[in-house]
Amino acid sequence: MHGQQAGQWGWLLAVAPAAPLAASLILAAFGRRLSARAVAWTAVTAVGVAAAAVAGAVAVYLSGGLLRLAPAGWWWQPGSQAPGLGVGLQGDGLSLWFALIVTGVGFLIHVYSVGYMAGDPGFARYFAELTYFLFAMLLLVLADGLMGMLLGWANVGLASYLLIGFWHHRPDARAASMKAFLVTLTGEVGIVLASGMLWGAAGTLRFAELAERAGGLSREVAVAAGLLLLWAAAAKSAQLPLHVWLPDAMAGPTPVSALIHAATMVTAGVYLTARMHPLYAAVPQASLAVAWVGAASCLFGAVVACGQTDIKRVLAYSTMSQVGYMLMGVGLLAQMAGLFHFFTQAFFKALLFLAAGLVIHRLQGEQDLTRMGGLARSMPLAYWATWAGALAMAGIPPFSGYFSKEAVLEAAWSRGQTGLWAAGTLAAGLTGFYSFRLLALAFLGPGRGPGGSRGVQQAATAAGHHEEPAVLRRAMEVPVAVLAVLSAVGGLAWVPGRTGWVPRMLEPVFGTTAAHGPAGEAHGAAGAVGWLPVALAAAGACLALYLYGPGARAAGRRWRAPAGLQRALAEGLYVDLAYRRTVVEAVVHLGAWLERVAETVWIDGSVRGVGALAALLSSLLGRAQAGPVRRYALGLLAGGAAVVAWAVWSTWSAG
Amino acid sequence: MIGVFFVFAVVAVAGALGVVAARTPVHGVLALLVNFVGLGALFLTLEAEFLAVSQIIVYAGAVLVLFLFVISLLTARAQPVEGPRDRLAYQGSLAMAAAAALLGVLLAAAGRTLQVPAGPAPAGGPGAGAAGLLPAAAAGLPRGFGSVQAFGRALLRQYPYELELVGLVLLVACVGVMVLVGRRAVQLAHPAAARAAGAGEAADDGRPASAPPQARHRPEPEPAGVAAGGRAAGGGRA
Amino acid sequence: MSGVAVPGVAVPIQAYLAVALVLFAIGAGGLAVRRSPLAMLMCIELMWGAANLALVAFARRIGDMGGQVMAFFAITVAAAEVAIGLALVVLIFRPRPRADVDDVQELKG
Repeated sequence: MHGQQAGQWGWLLAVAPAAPLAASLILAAFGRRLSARAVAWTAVTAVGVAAAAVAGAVAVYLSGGLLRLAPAGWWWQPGSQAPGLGVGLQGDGLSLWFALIVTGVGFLIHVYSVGYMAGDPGFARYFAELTYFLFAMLLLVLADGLMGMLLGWANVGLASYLLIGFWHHRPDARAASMKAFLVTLTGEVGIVLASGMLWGAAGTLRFAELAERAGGLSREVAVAAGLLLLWAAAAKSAQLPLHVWLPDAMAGPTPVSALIHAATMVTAGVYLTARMHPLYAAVPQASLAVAWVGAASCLFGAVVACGQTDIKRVLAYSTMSQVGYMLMGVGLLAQMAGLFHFFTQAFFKALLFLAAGLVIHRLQGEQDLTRMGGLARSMPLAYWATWAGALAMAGIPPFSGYFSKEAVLEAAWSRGQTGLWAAGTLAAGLTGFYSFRLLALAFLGPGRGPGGSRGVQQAATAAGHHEEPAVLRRAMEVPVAVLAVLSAVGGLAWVPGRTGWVPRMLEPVFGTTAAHGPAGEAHGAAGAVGWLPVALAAAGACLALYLYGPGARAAGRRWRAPAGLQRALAEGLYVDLAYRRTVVEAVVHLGAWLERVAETVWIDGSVRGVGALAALLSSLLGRAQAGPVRRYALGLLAGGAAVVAWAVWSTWSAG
Repeated sequence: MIGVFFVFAVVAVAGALGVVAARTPVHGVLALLVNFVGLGALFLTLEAEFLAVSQIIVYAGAVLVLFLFVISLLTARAQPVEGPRDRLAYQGSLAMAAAAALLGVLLAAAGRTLQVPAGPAPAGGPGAGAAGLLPAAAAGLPRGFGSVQAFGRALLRQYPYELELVGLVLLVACVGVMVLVGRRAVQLAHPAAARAAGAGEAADDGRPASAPPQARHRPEPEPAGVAAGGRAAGGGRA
Repeated sequence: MSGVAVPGVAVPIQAYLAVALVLFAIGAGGLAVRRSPLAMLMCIELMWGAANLALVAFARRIGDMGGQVMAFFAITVAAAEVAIGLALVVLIFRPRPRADVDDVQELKG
């Protein structure tokens, strides 16, 4: 029955990436000639088709079928000698889980982008690149082997590069796109190396076959491959120490930040580590390394987010922190907890970004939190949406983030990883603080900055009176509202003690032990321990509201951090500086040296040398062809004599 | 038999030497005729009757006459035939040495090739008995070997396509000659070209013999009426 | 059996070959020595004839008419070659003051 269903519905898997790809090609080829309305409809329809296909695949999957689209001639297949290298598509629970979020949130963000990017001269280019990203991301999550996943992986990197640098007239956008591309590229090297090792050791790169053979790998190979894949995951998911590209990537349009750099692409590392779970299950050390990288990034991101003043950079560091939770869950082999957090985070982080986008849009590009404030009244939707997002991110029950974060932290506690639990709990408290700091600075209190509240308000009203068509405004507001609802109730996907979407989708992939801990341990058994993160988050939220909330300045309560700490936080704890001092300067010096020595001496020298050699040879040969025919005849004669002499000599010496 | 061979071998070689040594082209043609007659006789001793006849008819009758025609065409203007002194250093002695070396290695190769390999003699072949010796006229040869009939049979039965190909080659040669010389003849009829040729002769005299031809031809004024094709065909004057 | 063949002492094929090779070497040497294009063409004719002699001698040696046919083809091609060669000689040397191949160096590299 399964096989029949797979054969019957496998085409759904191909439709999902093909529709955005087709839209991307159409928009890239004809986008300039199409009206903005046609461009928007093309992109949104394609993504809607993809989402419908994924939804259909999920329905098939939930009714018991495992979708597979093995390469059968119509798909690229490099040689029958290496079947493990083929690129096919598969739709198991994990792949569809990601595909569902990618297409669902992707659809909402495409709709939002129609309003946000309206009037931009690169409107068609934007949607060509965004649909291209969606194609690549779906290829990444639906591929049935490391080969296909790497194809998707590299393509999302390119799409991310294009979209970060979308406003390429801005130097910071150009620099940020290149930085993101280079840093994540190092991760691709990790995947390639790990793939080579796994291919050599296991003889296949298909996930299904790798899962069967992972137990038989030698320990060295498994550890090395696991750490290389962790490197790749950290690069893509902006984890320590490769997170530096993510805050800069906020130079792209805000919907791009919401889709690529919050909800989907940065979670590719989570997908990778979850997908390779048989490998990590075989080597607990590598698995624990994943968890610790996640925990460290989680705490780091939370700390730095508290000191950022750019609204999008706050959200960028919070993304780093939340992805850290996910990796922690996956590294603890509680993959379902980590993936649940991926699910909820996609909603509330996209929501926060889109709400921030509303603010930025209204303030005509202003992103500095210290120059905002008092927007609650003029932008009620953004205000309440941010409330929902902040509550969800802080993990205040019953908002969605509570359930998923609790699942991760309980997994850490129940597995005896107190250190991980402590880091996560501390980060939870900081999450409460920075979430509500953002909320308070942007929406509450009087307007800050040079213009004061009146200046910002005036800017807001001026933009509001800009007479935006109602349909465009609604295109931005509806996705925000939908995401706000989802952020609020998304936790219902896995209510403690009851089965939900999460176990139904993911348990066939990971087994029951991936839930929280050893089988039989009930959810919520930790008691007081379980409530500590919530309490800390609530305390952080209250502190933030107290320090930055309404009337804080009037009461003179505004706490000022020591200048050194403030500066360190604003600089992201100097990680970027360290990179600049070491890697960047080394590369720059190497480049200068190469330009001085290699370029001028070796390359120019060899090129000129080749030219001089050719000139020399031609002058010699030219002298041999000076024109006298009889000299040629003489040469012919002597050459013939030499040939015959050689023939005679060789037969004599042979016989 | 061997006496006949010896006589005509000497005749042929003497004719060849005469060709190389002849001072004037007409003498060379006459020496070549001697050589051809010797060769034809040698063909006869090898029982190549048809070849002997065609050697005399084609070469002596047609080719040599063609040579004579060309000589009469050229020497009307080109006197003396060769320059007084060889401008290529050591060309003569080097050519002699190379020719001698070629002869030596060729003789060595021939001697080597015709040695019968050690072991049992090849069975049934015409020359099985006496290695290297031509079989006597009656011995071992197919009946009628060398007769015109046998030659015609071999030509038309065994090599018909090759015969057609050779005919095509001849046709192409005829057309080629017409294209080359026919056009030239038209241009020669043009008075401007004739004048240009005369000017070239005048400019050539008195120049140092070692001067490169471009230098010699450069001062020559560009003939107004000569087409580009004509210039290229006329030796590519710069 | 052919009437032309003279009975007597058998002549070794090496003798014919030697004559052919001597003729060939003379022609080759003359090709490099002589400056007159006509003389050079005649030397080429010598080499053709030498080759033909060797072909006929070998044909007689192994009793195959193929050698003679080949020599016949060679004669034909030689005739064509002479025709073309003489045409070129006329073409090249007709406007020149003398027929010396050393004067013709326009095509040098």
